[in-house]
Amino acid sequence: MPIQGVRTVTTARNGVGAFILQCKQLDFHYCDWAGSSRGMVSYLKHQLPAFAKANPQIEIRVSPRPNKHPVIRGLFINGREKVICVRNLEPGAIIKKVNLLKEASGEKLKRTTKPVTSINESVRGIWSPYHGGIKSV
Amino acid sequence: MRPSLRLLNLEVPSLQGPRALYVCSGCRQEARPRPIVARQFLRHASNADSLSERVRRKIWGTDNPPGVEDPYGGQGALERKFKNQQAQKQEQAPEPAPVEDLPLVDDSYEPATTWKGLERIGHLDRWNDAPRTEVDTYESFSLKKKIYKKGPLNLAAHQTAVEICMMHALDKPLLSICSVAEHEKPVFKMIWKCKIQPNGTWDKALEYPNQEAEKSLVYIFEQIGGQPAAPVAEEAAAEQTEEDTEALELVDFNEPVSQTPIAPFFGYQDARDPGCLTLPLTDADTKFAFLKRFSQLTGHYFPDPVIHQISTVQQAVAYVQGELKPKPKKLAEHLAENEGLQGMPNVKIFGKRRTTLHKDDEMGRKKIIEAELRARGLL
Amino acid sequence: MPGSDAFRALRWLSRGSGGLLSGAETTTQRCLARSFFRSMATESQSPADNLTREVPKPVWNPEPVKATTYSFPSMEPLRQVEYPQNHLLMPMRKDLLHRAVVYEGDMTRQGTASTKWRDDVHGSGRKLHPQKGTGKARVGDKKSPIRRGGGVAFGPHPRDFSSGLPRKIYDKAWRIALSYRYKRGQLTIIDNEIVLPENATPYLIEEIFKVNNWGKDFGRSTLITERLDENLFETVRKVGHHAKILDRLDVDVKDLLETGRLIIEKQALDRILAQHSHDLDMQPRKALY
Repeated sequence: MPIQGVRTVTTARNGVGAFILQCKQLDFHYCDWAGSSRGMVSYLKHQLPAFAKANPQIEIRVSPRPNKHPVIRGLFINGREKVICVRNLEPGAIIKKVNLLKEASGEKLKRTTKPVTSINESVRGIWSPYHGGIKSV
Repeated sequence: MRPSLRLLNLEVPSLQGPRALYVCSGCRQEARPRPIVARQFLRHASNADSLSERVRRKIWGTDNPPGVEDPYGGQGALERKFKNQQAQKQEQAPEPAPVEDLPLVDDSYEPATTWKGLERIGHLDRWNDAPRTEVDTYESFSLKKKIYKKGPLNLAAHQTAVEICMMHALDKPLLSICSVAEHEKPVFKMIWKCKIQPNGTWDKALEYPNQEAEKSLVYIFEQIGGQPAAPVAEEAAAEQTEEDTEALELVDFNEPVSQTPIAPFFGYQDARDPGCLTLPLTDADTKFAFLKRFSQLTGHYFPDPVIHQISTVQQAVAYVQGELKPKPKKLAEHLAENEGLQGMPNVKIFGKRRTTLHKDDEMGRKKIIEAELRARGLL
Repeated sequence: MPGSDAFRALRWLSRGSGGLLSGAETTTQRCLARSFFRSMATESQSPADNLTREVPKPVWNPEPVKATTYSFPSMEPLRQVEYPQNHLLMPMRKDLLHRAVVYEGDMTRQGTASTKWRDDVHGSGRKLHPQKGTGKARVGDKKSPIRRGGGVAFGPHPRDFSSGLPRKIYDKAWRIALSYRYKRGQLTIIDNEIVLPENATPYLIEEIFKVNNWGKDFGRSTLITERLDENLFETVRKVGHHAKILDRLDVDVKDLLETGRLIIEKQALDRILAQHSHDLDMQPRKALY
């Protein structure tokens, strides 16, 4: 019987067939008094309703955090969280930061040096000293 | 030490000179006056002669020297009081009757545990320790208690509009209406029944309910600006109108007068006719008169820039109503009112800071209180 | 006639400067000739009028600002008074206000902090120990700033902190501050004097402030009077948590900006505005010949 390779079954990949947004929750914190929250307050007043409507799958929580700079905290499916301080930012800049959190995967930031990264297994497999020709050993 | 005693101290050696030429320093110390506290008892001891008494005797050479027995102060205030009390007690002691009365008083007597309700005695010399005087009554031009409800505001606007219309029609000085702080009830009722044509001019917009009302209102308003004896005349007019109207078929007018002065606008809730809201306020004098009268009736003043912007009665009323509803100061309140966010199932807005306690609560990690579990027999 | 004046001046200039404006002269002549021709052709307008007319200046009569005056304790609106726009409707200039407030702050600094330098400290200039041979560090006298009890190096000395501010800017700042109050409806002008009845106590002030919503809960109020009335000032100062009272000479730009509203006598307001409008009254300098 000829040797048969292990059949590969299609593995689920995010975005092939279905896409699940990795960001599950966004917390908005602001301060009512401090000037560094001015942009954040304006964002929450005017831009947030549209964002919430466009992204019903993200839970949005707005709560004050007195005497602190304004902060956006994103919670991700992989259990990690990312926090961005938006002190003294204009509402326009905050929109960008919110998008950044929304589109993030939740993984730690990695430095990519190669232009192409494959997610497939190596065809040659991993070298093992106990297999193959042992003459030279 | 009192100066008198010091004087005495100096004199002691010289006075005693003839009898004993030399007084040793130790003896002189003895002769020195003792500290005041000790000495006072000595001085006032009933039978013991004080040192000063003895000295006085020596000076005069007799046992009964002239002059006051104790020229240096006499008894202290406390002692005097004590003596008085003792004397009173001694007086009271032989009388049995008040003693019998006392227990009756004692039954109802409860010792106070707090200062509340007790009489205030003394003060710390602050201005608010003294009571108010009659000078301190403030007579304000407008209502002291502002009107905040929508209905009475409309009533005030309607009344003001009718009054200003009347003054325009009668060609009288507009501001003189402010001299009448409050109308009599029947007069107010007639004003209330008046209608104002929408989009009319001030001198022609008014519609009277009937001929009689028109006559009496015109008569009353004729009185207002002209004579100095306006209030009396007005009262007379009011009475007259009351009689007049009672003579007519309007039964509503003779309502009990007793309950009148408590509620503003005699308990009326809202204006019957919204026609006054469309009247223009473009003429400067009319506008000023209207706003002045309106502030007098409602207690709300109009700042100058707002006066500049107002051009209809509607805007004036709207300004006062807008002033009543201030903008929310907190963002949470603002967002809670936001219509865009209200229907969203994915948005939660909190008014308070979220702590780890809240987070644990959501996760179902409440702290276990063992004592409570034991108390319920669960542990 | 201004036109002919200008024309004469032009001619004088051209004569005086020795043909400096000869170019202009020729152009006017050319224009003259042209307009002459045109007038011949159409007979529409006189050539001299066309020539000598000055550039028309835009006439700018801004509508005056209206303000209501009140009678003091009763707060009855009495009449409407008018002020020019450049008094009570100045556009906001935060920078000028800031400069004015800093200028006033500098001016009020006492500047009496003082320390003694080593020459001023009491003591002798004797050398503490010989320069060599003791095994210790070399020293001078005991008043040296590095020793305890010695003089202070670079310490403060009495000086004048006051800084300057151009009169025009300061005056403008006054009017901007008042305009700011006016625009926010926080300027209440009193027609008569701010007076209280005889023997009035702070209770009355409290009551007035409560009825009119002027008190602590509404950001306090500043009363500005023209005249310093000791009794009134004493009474008002007892309720200092609600009110602040100043006479006109004591008012600064900073005071105008501090509390929730200003309650000012009309006379005081007029005087303040009159004293701080130098930049408006100023005429541009003209050469006189």
